[in-house]
Amino acid sequence: MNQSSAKRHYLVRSLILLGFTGLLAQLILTHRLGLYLAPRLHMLSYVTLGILFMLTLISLRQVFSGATAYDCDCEDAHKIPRSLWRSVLLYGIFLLPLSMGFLMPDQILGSDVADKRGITLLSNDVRKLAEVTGAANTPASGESGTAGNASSHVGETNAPASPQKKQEAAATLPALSDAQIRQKFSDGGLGDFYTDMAVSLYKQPVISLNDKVFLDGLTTMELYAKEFAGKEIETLGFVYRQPDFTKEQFVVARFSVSCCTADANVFGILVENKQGSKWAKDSWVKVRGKLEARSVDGYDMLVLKADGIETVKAPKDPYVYYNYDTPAGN
Amino acid sequence: MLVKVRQFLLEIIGALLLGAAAAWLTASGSASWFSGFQFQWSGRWLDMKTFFLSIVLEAIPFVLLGVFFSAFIQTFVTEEQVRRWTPKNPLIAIPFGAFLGFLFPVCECAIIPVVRRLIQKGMPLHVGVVFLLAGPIVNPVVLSSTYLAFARQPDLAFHRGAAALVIAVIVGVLTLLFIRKNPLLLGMESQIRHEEAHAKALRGKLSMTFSHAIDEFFDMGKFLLAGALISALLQVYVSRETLAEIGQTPVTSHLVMMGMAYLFSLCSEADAFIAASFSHSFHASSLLAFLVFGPMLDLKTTLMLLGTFRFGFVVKLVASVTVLVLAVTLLWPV
Repeated sequence: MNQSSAKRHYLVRSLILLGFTGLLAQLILTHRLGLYLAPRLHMLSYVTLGILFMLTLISLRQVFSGATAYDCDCEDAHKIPRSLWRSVLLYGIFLLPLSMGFLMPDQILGSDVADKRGITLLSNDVRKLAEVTGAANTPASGESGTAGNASSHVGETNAPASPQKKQEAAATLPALSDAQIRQKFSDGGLGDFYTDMAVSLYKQPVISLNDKVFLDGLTTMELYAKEFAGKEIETLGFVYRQPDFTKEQFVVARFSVSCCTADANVFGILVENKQGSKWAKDSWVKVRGKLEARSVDGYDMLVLKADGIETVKAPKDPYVYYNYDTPAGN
Repeated sequence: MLVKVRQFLLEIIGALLLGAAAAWLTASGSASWFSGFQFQWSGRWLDMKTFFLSIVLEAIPFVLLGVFFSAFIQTFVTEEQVRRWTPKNPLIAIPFGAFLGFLFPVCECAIIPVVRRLIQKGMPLHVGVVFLLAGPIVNPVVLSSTYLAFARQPDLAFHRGAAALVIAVIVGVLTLLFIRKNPLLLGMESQIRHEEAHAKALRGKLSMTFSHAIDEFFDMGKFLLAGALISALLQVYVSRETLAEIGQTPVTSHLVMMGMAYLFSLCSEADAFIAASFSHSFHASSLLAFLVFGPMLDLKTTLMLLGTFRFGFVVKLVASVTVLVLAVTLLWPV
């Protein structure tokens, strides 16, 4: 291999490294890194940016002084591709993420991906979703009473249970002291974290299920579904529908990201509102309403009966994260 | 035959990727390619970009970590030391390899360059293989994230670690008994000699470490990128429900979960959260198969292994790990 060919390779490599440095720097400076990585990996990315920058400089130095840095008779070992075809392949695959990063616009994950992933609702059981929507159709569209079809026991627990729960919750709420609320959530052996979380959520007059507590709050309410029935909550997410939903139903959903978006999962609450079909899929909405318990096959599931829905702008950080160490951060 | 396939593997993958890229450009070109000066991208391709960049951005720090760690071993750890620290007796050496993850908590992208370097430095192959398989699971970071992800079945973290240990140890023993030939790629020997020549000539020079880091970045990077790209495509086009529907009997559900773990190529620190999202449609022992198989083998690490070891050895490794994970997790009392 001659010197000029080696230098050409070093030049291409330097440009690729420069590209990666530039892409990462751009993502960080324009605050778009959150669209790709969870916050806990951001620090690592800053360090990576520094290292990539240094690698770029050293690679550029090789272009100009390649001969002195690598003055040896062992060129094969430097893994420089031997043919043009191989070079095109090798550098092509490095250029692909760069061109995508610079040329293609960012997109927040939405309903298309949620379809592929399957969504986790407040019931913690996706397969039950069809049954719930099936059961909900009857009491919601017609008069409540018996569902009177195959899933009869669903209809039967459904309608009478929820008003009762509501009254109970409304009646007991003001009288409870902190200790009593704590008592309410301390059984079940689910650990202090969820008890703390439940208490801090329960004390709010209108539970604000914001970005910080979305996932942990959802898990908590799902664990204590009975206790949270009848509480009022407010939350924000994108509109997601499945083909088997009624016109009044949609899910207000969020993607959770634990490291990168490849591990994203969809979580959400089933919302029911008379004008539910007004909101387009993937549009961002703020929803406020009362939780209502439904029981399906022995699972308690919470449905949000919305009385206020408004369109909002997508948040800057569209994804939500588990936040185990700060239970009562809000 | 096998050698030939291996030789052309890079070309084959590259040709497929280029073909896909061409198809993509023409396909999206026929749709409204320009509208004003704005490009119109189909939503799926944008999702694909999100996944691809996301996996790449997540993995690059860990690959660099592995590369620098391996450069560190190269510069500061002598062969003499590696030989002295590794127990002579395989009965002690194999468990030693299995628990090395507690000393070096690296995930599955970072571990391959490290293991390669350790084997080059004289660590016996069977110990290296045990570390390669157990390291990304049996370490505090991964086990604690598993514990967090399965808040309701905390013992799954224990089962994960234990099953991984058992499988890694069995593969280690198999390697000890049956692998006689040096499994590192042809030319790796001359590379070692070459790197040592550099190390002698330029000892203590930081720039040398960095130069080698650049070499390894491009060397490992191409496999990582190819794996990430395929994984991103699958994430956009294959629905999890389709996969879940295949897995109805115990054996098929285990195979489906292992297949998903392989194709999705998740980081071993994050995969427990994905497994938890499957807990409603799969039995715990299938989840265990997912949790154990993914960090040991996946699409991107297989490509990275092929860049390090001989093709025949990688095939044997993949086959034995697959069979063992299936058998052990089927029998495992979860």
